[in-house]
Amino acid sequence: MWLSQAIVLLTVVLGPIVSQAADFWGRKWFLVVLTCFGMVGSIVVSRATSMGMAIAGEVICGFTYGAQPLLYAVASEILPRQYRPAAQGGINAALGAGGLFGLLGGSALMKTYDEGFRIYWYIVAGLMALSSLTLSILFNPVPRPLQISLTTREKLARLDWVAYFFLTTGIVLFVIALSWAENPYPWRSVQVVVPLVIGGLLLVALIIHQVWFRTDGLIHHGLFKMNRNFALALFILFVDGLSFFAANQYYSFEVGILYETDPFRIGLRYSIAFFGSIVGSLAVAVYASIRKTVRFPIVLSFLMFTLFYGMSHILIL
Amino acid sequence: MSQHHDVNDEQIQKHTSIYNEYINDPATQAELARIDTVDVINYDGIHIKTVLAYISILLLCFAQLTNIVGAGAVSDPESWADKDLF
Repeated sequence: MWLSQAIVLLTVVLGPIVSQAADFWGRKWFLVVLTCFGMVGSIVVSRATSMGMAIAGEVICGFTYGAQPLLYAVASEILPRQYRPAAQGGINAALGAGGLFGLLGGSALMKTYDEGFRIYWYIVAGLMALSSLTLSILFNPVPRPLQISLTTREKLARLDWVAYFFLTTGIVLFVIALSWAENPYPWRSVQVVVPLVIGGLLLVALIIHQVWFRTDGLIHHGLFKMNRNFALALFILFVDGLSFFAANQYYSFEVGILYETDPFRIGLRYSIAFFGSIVGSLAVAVYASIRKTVRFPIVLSFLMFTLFYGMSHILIL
Repeated sequence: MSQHHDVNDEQIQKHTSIYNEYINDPATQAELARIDTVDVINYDGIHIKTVLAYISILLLCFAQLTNIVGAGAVSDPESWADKDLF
């Protein structure tokens, strides 16, 4: 579980920090350098001689996901407004294609070769290297106003260091406690209770700091004052991420226990979701371009999430 | 930084003035969702460089999901242990 959890943790911790810093230093080098971490991490996983080493490799890969929010921002910034639905649809379709390739290619490699996972991670390392290289050559945006008008000292002063401390330490401790609970330590053990309480308190401190002590920091109050759309979007993204990582972590495992033993057929079952996501992304892009609204596709997609999880609950063996 | 080399002062001034005007005018704050494309920071017209930059972003999306799926659904530590890989 720690293999994928490392990615989730680093996404949560680094995403807001990198996003804020990218407003001051520009998007390009965060994308390029953090993607290089993905290449290095994938090489470490491919050469792993222990599970600990594989997890360490995934932690290094996790740094790549600090730049994930920038992907959507860049697509919106470099293309005209009229193409934005298509641009965002293209990003989701590319994510779906990556998932599909990973599932089918990866499971075929696992099935064919005893050490197929090493080949898989070589391929991922190559993809990361190619992405970093193409971004460094092809993405040359005009500097942002704050990028050129502020000195490095001013930029550093504008970052919300207190919030970063609370967020990073709070999230990591809280998640470690939840992961260790009942496996391997009981809920009431020191190893679970101490990080759970300290992590929880740090997250409460983050909320207090952001509500009463800093209005333009990590959680900028202006984003919530205009209307309810931003808060709604955040909640929707939270549920979306929860659903994706739940399926990514447990669906294949569940199918492997209940229905299939062939890794490729397990991957094939899960891959239906990615076929759907590619078709859905493109369809929504066309719909949003024509109708100038995304409400109906969002409602429909969440109804389908509900249907999926509802039906998973009543599986007939 | 190499990003700066093809940007002249006029461009910088234009972007800075748009930004300052925008953040200092409370009336425009409410229009955040409807800001015109030409006023979006970093938008510099659609041309081959823009398309290539977008394609490189798509490639990174592809690579990121390949990595996530690899760490989640594809990786099966139990089978790794069964095969005595480590």
